[in-house]
Amino acid sequence: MYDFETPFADTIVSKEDNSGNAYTQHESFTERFLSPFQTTYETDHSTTTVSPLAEEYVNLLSELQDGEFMESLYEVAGEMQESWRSSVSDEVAMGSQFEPFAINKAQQYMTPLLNESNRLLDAAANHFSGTDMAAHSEATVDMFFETLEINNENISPVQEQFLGGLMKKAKSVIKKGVQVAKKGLSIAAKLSPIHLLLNKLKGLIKPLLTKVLKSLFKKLPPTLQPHARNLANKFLKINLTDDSPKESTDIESLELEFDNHVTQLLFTPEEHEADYNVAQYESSIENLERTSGYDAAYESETNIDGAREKFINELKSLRMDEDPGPAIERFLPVAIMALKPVIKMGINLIGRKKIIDFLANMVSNLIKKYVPAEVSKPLASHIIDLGLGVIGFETHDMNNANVGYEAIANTIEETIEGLNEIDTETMKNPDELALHVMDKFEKAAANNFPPNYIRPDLRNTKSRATFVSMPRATPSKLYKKFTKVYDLQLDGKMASSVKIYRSVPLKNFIKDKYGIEIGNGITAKVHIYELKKRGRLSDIGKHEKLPGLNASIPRAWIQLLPLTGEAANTLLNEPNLASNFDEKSLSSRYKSRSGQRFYYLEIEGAKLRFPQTAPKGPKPKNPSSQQVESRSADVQAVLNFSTSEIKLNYFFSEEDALSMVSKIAKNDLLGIAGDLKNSVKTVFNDILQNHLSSKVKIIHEAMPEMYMEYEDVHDHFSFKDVGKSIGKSIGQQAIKKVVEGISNLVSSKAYEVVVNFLKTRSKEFVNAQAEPQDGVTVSIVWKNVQGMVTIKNLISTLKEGGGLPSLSDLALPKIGEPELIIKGGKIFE
Amino acid sequence: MVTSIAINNSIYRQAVHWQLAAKRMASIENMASMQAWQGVNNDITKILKTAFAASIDEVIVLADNLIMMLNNGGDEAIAQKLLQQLRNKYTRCEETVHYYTIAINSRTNPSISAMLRACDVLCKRSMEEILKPLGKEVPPVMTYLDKGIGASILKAGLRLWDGRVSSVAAIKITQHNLYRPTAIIHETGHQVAHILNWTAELETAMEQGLASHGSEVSAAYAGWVSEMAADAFAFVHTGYAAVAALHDVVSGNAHSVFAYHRHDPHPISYIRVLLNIAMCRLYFGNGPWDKLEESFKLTYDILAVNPSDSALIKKCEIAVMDVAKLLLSKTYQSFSGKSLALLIPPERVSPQALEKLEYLAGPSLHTSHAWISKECLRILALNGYKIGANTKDLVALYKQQEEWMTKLGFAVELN
Repeated sequence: MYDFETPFADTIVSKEDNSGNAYTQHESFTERFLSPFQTTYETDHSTTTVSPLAEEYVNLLSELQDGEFMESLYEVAGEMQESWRSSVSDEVAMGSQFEPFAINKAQQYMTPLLNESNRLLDAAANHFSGTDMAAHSEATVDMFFETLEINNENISPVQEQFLGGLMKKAKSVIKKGVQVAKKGLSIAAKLSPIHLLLNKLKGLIKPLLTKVLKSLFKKLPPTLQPHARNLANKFLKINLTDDSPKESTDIESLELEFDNHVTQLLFTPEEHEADYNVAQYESSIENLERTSGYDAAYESETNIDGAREKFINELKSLRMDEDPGPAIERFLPVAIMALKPVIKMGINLIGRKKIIDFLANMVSNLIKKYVPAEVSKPLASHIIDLGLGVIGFETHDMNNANVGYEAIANTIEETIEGLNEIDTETMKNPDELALHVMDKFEKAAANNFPPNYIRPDLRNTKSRATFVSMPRATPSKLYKKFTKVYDLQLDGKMASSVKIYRSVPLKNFIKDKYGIEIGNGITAKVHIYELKKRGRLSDIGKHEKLPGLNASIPRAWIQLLPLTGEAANTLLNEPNLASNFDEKSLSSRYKSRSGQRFYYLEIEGAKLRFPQTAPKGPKPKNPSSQQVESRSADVQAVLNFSTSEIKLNYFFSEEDALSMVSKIAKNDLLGIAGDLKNSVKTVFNDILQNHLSSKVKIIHEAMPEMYMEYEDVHDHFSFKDVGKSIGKSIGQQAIKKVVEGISNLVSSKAYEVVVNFLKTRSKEFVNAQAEPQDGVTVSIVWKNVQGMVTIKNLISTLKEGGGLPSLSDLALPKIGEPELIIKGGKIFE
Repeated sequence: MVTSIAINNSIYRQAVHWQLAAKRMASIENMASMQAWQGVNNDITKILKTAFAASIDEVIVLADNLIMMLNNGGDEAIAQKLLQQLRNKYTRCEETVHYYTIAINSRTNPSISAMLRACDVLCKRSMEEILKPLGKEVPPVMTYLDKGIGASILKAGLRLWDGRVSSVAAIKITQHNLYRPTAIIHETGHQVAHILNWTAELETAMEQGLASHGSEVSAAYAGWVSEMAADAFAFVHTGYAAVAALHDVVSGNAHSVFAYHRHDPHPISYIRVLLNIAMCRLYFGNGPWDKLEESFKLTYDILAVNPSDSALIKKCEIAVMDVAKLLLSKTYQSFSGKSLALLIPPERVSPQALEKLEYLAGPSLHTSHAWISKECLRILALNGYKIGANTKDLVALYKQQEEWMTKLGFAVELN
């Protein structure tokens, strides 16, 4: 029996010291890793023996990868979810009937999309039928795809964007085939006939959409998702040793997997092999379900909501002085189900019942004081009182204790979720486990109880406010809302210092998305949210009813910004309200996780801008269907080791480009230099340096996953192969250092290059800004870079598990004069 | 007794009739198509739907009460009275709902909707520039397309047919002027003058400031203040574009150009055009308006036509520059002691300033959503200036106008 100081303000149970850190501090191995670079340059004498197929494979994979397609998959997922949510008021009440019903609704949603994608691909197959790849040119392929039009009234704007992305992939794969055929390479014999390729591509779409649907039901366990490298390995037969499962965001990994299958189709000339490829993709869904089937009750969408409701009812019906322990014991297994599979395996290993009994006992003791009706009712009243103006409580909420019990259930759920952060060894030690649970319980209680119930040292906020589960109208809770809305006087300095996603300053976000210059300052109201396990950021956009954040505004959710420590401190003066955002979750708004907090700035008159740009895919039925907000500054570095080329793509938002164009017209050289300095040396540099893992694309046959972010995984279950793990870590760090070195080198040259360019060829920038696209992309390309081959070989060696090669003769690549290309729109690879 | 039952039945039948009609009207999609609703800005949709619902609810509640009363054997005379109230309330409510739904239904397809949304933005922006600094709320505004020569406004803040106060300004833009919509800024000028109560102060200013021109002249101008205020507002925002467009709209037959209707708030068209030209001259010096005036006077030769009010017209013509100064340069309490030209400097839309804008932005001025969003009013002024000053490339200029307005219309969030 453990006895702790509870997080609650009114009951000091004991004074056991829990300030010590239960975890052993390990010196970071990576911190001791030295840069592999020497200070002198080498001459390039190395050769490589990589197959042309492998090079074409990774190049095509790179061309297929498209951030906008991933975005459209996310939005398609949202619409799928809406297809059933709009017709069900209480998912929980439907019980086991819910999932079949939802799947049926989703299939109805998919049908017109599948019909239209089939029609478009059929049109392409007919057009290219009977001809081989070499008979076409890239220009004729482009011309054909420009003639395609969407011809279905039932296609939504989101579906149009998905089709646009799909057709872009079809075009890329045909163009790659044309390129290979025209080069006369031996692998040209391995090319699929175009019509066969397109027909088989049709077969991949339904499984892709089915996987999107499954991801909504959390049926794709994150650590068991197929990985690009495994897929590529099978096809390329290159000797890559790392076959460990990787953790990645569902939607992202779905695109990567899809792209691999599409790429393989191009190099599969035989129909039966192509059929096998499609069948393999289709069956991977069932395989995954089987793989995760060891855990019979794998999290069903409504399980946790149903269990929470049942738990609340059980707490309500407890008699005076009755122990809530058994009810908690019944609730815990479902909460545990929501944990990562690796933790669940650990719990099973130690003894499920043992752990559940332990947790139930401990949690029950901590929480039982708040269960009796005479305590939970005032607790509920307290929470309702705090949130009356902001939350919009339902009438039925006002008169019962459910809101209080909800706080209790949330506290328990979040305590259990905290187990995701420990390893099996800690779990085996009851003392350490107890300390960990206590720590998580304190945080969870502070997150869900009004502050006056919480000890001052643990409080999240200086205000009288707490988080309340939302939406109120349904038992399914998707996010939490803070009951206080902050008034903010935002000036330019503050807005420049607070960074949002990709390290973009808040000031740029406000200017680019709303067209509002902060100038001397603006006022705003700050609304705070926290994502729950089942929620997506788009759910907040759909369920809130604020003037600028509501269901009627497409992509309203993109206005939700990460409440980092910097933001919480600067904007709210509430550092404890911040939540933890690592580099990965700050690299893109599509990588948000449960427990993370976000803020929305309600600025009077601010409206998201949706620039009308030339369609990128088939012509939409409805010209108003483009619903992509104006973009903010972004940067991408592409290290193409197959062509020894380095490229820096700088995207200037439309507002930034406008400012530049005005200064170019005035011949305001000082002003241009100032703008460029801010963009290139500050904003772009910050984005690149802070997000190397997601902003540097690596085209290398040994890295079909293309980005280092897929490497930044700390496997909890690595004790089996510690040696391998350390070796792998050295390799990863070496690659990271190499990439960092190259990125620093090219970005340090970039400012000078762009300034010189604009002195002589500014007209090109002006013309690019005038194109009917959003913003301007400036691409700086270094071709035939000396030293890339050596680095390429180094990466191959590291990836093939050949140990760390000698780094003494490794030098940064030698870069000469780059080419500079300016185009309208955001053109990233 | 039998007669009484028959009357009650008749009242009951009618009450149910009006009740069902009101319920049909409550289904807003019956009144305006979904596509049309989708073309309207979300905020305005919400305001209108809420207002309609409240108005229709009153009719339904009245019908319900009457039916309940009849079911409970209520007094026949009272029932008859209530029935008349119900009919009146229904027709007044229907008048209001129909006015707006006809306006909404003019958003027939995505392209027209986008153009009208662009007009909404232009209207709102024009009001924001003056109302915000003066600490006044900017009312929501919705434009709609209709036949006719001139634009019009149903101002926000006025009492509607159903007795409720309009919360959305509804501005009619005429079919012929959709691609040259400076008239909508004239209409927002009416709204602004109403909110700031400028017209009353302006009337006094005309009476006092034009005393030297004689009482007949000062009284005539004092009677035209509401329209002149709106013209001045359109001028400060869009410069010569508004003047040229006004000229084209009022250039009917000679009789109508010289016609003077007492109690008509519109100035004599001849004077109105000359007054607008005087505003250009006052702030911009010489320009294409000089030629416009020359051709206008040749076309409408007062000596040749010799209208019945020629004496007054000639006296008023002498006063136009003074009137222009009173409108633009004089300070008013309604403007917190500032002049209109100080709050919205016309120099920003002088030909030189517009040429500079075009030069600075380059070809992206009409294509970049950032430029369009930032400078939509001045782009309207620029295109209108070019149309008004040239005869070359008119088709291309209209096309360009359509294209940038479409972009502006699509850039704002839809329903």
